[in-house]
Amino acid sequence: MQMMRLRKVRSVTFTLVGLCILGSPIRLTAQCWGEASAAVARTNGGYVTGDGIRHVTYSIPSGWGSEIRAAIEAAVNDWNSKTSTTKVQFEPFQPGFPNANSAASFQFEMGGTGMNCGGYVAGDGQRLRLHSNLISAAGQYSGQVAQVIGHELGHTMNLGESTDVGSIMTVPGYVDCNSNAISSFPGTSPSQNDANNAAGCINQIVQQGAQYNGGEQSTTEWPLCECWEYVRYIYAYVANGQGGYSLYVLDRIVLDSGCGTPPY
Amino acid sequence: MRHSIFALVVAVIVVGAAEPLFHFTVTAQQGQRLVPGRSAAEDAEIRRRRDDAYNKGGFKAAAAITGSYVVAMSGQHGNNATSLAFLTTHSPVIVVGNVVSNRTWLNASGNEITTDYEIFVEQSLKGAYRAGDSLTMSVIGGKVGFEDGSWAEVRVNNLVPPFTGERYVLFLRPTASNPGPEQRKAARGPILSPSFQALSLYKLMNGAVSPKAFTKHPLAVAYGGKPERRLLDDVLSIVEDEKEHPTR
Repeated sequence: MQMMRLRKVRSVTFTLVGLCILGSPIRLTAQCWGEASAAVARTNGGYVTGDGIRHVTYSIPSGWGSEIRAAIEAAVNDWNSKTSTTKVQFEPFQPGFPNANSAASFQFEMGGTGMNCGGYVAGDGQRLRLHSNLISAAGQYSGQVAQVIGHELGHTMNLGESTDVGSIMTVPGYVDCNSNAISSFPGTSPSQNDANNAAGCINQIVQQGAQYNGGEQSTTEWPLCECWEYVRYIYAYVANGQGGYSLYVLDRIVLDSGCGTPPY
Repeated sequence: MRHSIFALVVAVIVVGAAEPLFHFTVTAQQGQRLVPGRSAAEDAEIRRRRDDAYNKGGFKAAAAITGSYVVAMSGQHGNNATSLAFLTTHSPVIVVGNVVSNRTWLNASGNEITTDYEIFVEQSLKGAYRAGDSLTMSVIGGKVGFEDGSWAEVRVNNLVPPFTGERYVLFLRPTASNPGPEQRKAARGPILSPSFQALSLYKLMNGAVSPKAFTKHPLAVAYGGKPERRLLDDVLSIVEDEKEHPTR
């Protein structure tokens, strides 16, 4: 019986790690996720303000209950407490604000075929999937569930897996919500070192994307009637796995702004 | 390893080969080495071989020479529509639409790279489309990869491309490109293209118009930063006038 349980735990561990690997070509030995599709690398759904803060937006299915929402909020608040370092602010998506975005930077959704619990970020970087068992566990193990979500939020900032003790990006030994094993989770929140690593990985993904897979161009836009912004777009082509590429915005930087006749 | 390959190829800017095909002005990159450390004579020889390969076998053949082939061109050149009336009457399809997704393609002739955008039609101002329809807008520029790992890219300078999630007024016509069967199959009906490159794209932000044309172009001066309602009303007025005076 004990052996069967051990096998089950190993199986779950393997499954969870395996699913994380889907979106993490660089892992364990590297700190960055390495995907140009990381949510923070796209301003689709988000925006960058003049203070350099990258606002990454998320949406939650309307049917999700208050407990999982609270866990998401806790994980978001943990990371947002590090905004001064990461220059990233997670916030709920508001249609049409501050521009014409029609969808969030990424959306939470239920998923995870083949896994018992846990979560992962899909390869396109636009979906953060939580297993139904994890969602169900949010009431009893709110801190632990928030840790799993915080780990996945790290991926949206291009953070990869880590083996550093105390890092939220360390792959848990296992996540088994059915056997109460999740109760052994430390409920770690992002450390300052995680935030420092995130800042580096964000910078890396933006720079790499522009340098190797796309480009940057500046233009004048009018985000409001009679008032202009001179902005620089940094963008990249991301392979879609079918021989083609899709174009993503990595950054929109406001270089100058004013009202009336634009000088550029 | 991947980075070193990228570092090797990122410096590659090839110019001159595609101007007659794309009707764009190719921007010269004088003095830029194809590979750092290589002599100007060696560069010239590679350029010649690659241009020759392009003329014979398109982007795939050209990319095979060094692993990549990048063409840079201006998206603002050659805009000859100086009035909204001209732009409207020469565009059989005009819509307000949202960019839903995009994907790059190599055309059937192998000598043109485009990015196809799926557009969700919010409002039709002219043509057969209706609100709620989807259409495909094909815009010059993009990147494609080949089986041998090589790739080719067309960079359109001076024109920030449309991005997913953005909202536009679009002036369109049937594409003059030669889409391949896969590209046609993936398209939402007939493939359309901007009627007059940058002049055909008007981004809408919070009710204000952001033309893609240079800010000093008459149409950009007329509608840049103005309420989108003004642009839409003017287009609808011209379309109505066109119906009443079809031979104008």
